[in-house]
Amino acid sequence: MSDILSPSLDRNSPPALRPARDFVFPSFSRHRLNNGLPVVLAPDPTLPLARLELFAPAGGEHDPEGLDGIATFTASLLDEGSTRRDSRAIAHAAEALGGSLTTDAGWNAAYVSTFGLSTHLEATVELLSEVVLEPAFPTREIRRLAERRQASLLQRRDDSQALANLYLDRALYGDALYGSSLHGNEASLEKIDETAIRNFYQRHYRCQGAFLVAAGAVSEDQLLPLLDSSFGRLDLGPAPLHPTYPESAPGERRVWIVHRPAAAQTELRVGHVGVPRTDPEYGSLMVLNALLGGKFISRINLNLREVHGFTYGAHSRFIGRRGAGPFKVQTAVATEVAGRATEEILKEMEILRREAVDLEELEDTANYLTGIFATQLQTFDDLAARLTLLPLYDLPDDYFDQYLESFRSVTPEGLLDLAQRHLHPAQATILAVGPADALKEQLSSLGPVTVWDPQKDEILEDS
Amino acid sequence: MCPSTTPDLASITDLDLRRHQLDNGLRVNLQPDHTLPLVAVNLWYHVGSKNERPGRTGFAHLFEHMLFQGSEHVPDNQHFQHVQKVGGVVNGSTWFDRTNYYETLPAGALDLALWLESDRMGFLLPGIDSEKLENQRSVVMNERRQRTDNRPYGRAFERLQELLWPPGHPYSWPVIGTMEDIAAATLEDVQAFFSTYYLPNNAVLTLCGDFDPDRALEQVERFFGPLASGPTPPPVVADTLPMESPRTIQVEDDVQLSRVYLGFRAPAYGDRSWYAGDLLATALGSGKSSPLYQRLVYERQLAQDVAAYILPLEIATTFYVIATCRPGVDPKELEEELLAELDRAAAGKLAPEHLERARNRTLVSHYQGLQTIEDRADRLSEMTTYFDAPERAMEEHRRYLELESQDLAGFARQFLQRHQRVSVTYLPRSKSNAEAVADEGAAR
Repeated sequence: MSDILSPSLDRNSPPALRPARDFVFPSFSRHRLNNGLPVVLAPDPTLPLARLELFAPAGGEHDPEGLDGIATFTASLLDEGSTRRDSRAIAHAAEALGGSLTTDAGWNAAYVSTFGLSTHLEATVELLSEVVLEPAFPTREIRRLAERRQASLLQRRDDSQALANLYLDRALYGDALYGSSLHGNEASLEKIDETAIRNFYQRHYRCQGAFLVAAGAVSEDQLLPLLDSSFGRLDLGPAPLHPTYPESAPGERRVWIVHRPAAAQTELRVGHVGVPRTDPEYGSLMVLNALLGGKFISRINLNLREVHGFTYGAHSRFIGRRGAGPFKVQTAVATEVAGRATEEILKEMEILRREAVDLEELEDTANYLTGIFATQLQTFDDLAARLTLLPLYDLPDDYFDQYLESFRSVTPEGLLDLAQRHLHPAQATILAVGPADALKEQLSSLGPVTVWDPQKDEILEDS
Repeated sequence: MCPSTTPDLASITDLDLRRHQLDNGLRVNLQPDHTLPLVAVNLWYHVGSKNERPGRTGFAHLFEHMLFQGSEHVPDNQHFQHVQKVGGVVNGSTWFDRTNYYETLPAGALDLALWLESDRMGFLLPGIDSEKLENQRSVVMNERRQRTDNRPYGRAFERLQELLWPPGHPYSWPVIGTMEDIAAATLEDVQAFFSTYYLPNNAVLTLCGDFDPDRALEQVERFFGPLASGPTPPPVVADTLPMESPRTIQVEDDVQLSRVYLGFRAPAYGDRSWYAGDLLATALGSGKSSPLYQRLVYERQLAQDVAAYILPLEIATTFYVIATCRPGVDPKELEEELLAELDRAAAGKLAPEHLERARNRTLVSHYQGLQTIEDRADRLSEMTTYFDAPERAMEEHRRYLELESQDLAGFARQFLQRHQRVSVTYLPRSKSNAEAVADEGAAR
């Protein structure tokens, strides 16, 4: 190559990019079992490992009134005993060959995820179906897990980051969906009993709306017959009705302070209700977000960290859920600069609503999102996580091509319009976890202040 | 296939691995992998917090931050700009024994990354000034607050290190350093540290991904070849008298649940017995079917959670066992149970199923750790930096598979005796101290 032979090296300008292959989204296929249960399959034979997961419409969005946390509680009980084996035997079966079994729930769905050597696929399918279809919900395990969960609720009271997220959700959604904790609270845990759990399970696991995801060293020919003879024999009940999803209704700007007198630093959030994951503009919003606070050289991070040295890092996110999830900027700053940091965050949001970005910054951001998409799809677990979105949100097979395309199609005018519709600095909730007096002094000019005591979960002061 | 045999890993272990050393001493690993149009560039410098001196703790890490602040031909924040605008990810990290810098980028940006990394290896000093140092000092102080001071139990590991190693021992202070020392660092320190440690002959460069190795090596030569080597940095040595009696402290903090931290000194990473310690930690504490979980979390319900692990350190290392008390449980009782479990391991009473599970777990983790090009590049750099043997990255699991139950018991007997322990117990702050705490917080 001629450039190698050139005698002098000019370090003053960056080397040109060389032509490279385009990234192609890995191949996958979608199937249905005999009973209609959808399956997404992504074969990748690189390693003798496989991930197999079941998702059920049993997420926190289905927590009945007063039983906050029952979805995650039910999910966490699935591997604590089946009609065939006890908790220890299930854990042994999952882990003896180096694999793992995880059961949990998010807002949208509950899941049971197995991971292990693909050479033992039959045993893996059997374990998964046993845990999902034959849980015993032993009374002893219900009591044990309830105690353990009460203890983790206690631990949360001294964790600034956890408190910031918990109280921000409450501030944004109140009594509506997403306003409570996925893990419930002291009072709701008291009410979650065996009957409630069995009812929840019956309604939300063996029904339409569930689906399976498989990735790794598994083939269609090998896997589908195994799934058909287990999950495929299930008589699927009707899909549970969707709950009422919250809507974006920006109100007045306000300040919530969660009082931790001895905090070494202030945990800070600026947020408001965002958009559902299914919003047709979600891809474009990722561009807006990356530019604002979604990458290292985002405006907010450069401002707060590199210009002012206020923080180790500041990030923003639109959290995707079936209903409108939160938009939030999050950072942690020295308490004495909490007010100035908040003002800089609000200012950066405001600038994007007022001034069109230049083309170079926009293109750099689109390139960034396009490039990292490939770096985040290197493993079959990465791929499984992406593919889960398709059945979860009823998205088409070519969704990710569209998604990547959407990064490139945003114009400066389009971004300005998006910012005006989706960033609301004047209606945001500002939430700070730290010493109340010092914070009130700095933040009270930004809106009416409410001060919470996280130990008793009570309002100390309301202006 | 029998579960205890090694599954076939042909597609990863067959990847071509080339080693090379430039005239200036830079060691280079090249591993082409054309699966995706990406390339990982990974650079390890053999310097970490253990090379610091008392009074300048945290300096290696602060210095790492300065490496993103610009060099002669890449001013200010442009390192990040250049990588992110082409769709790459970039970061660095500092540890006791080493500092690493890494990028994953579209394959066409390989030269760009080599240009960036060679510029800060060769031409850092003209790019930095005291204003940038002040800015990053402030960023790092906030990092310390965020990761340590403002986290529940956040200072536990610092306290363990202080107990475990004598004053002045290179592992006796935390990588992040103390606030006081971060405040004391000067621009002269930056200059001296750079000329002592940031030398091609004290570094390893690894490339993994979609490139032609001949061309890539030519480019490495082109960008890094002209950089001057320097004197071999002084080795760090530390002698330690054996622990003759346990050292234990109790700490009151803003936590709701008590927690017990046990630490034991153990042999350096790379030693055969280190692997026995690592396998023992997995056997004892990894997964819900492990004996620590079964006994303490599940059966006796004394613990909210429990974990065991060993650190990979160069001079000597630490084996940790950590457990959080359920509400109302006396941490002394929990500590006694943890020690009893270690006694059982020392007596060879660990059930064979746990060794089998740990072996399989280790095997699976080994494969998982080689899945992405950036993880593999990091492993190759690591094995070259510590052992001058990059090929070990691909075969490290074999060192575990040859261990038997007597090796695990032997490790526990030799290193996990009660009198060899240090322990830090966190307790919820007693009510009477609540106001004093508020004062302390305000004074910080």
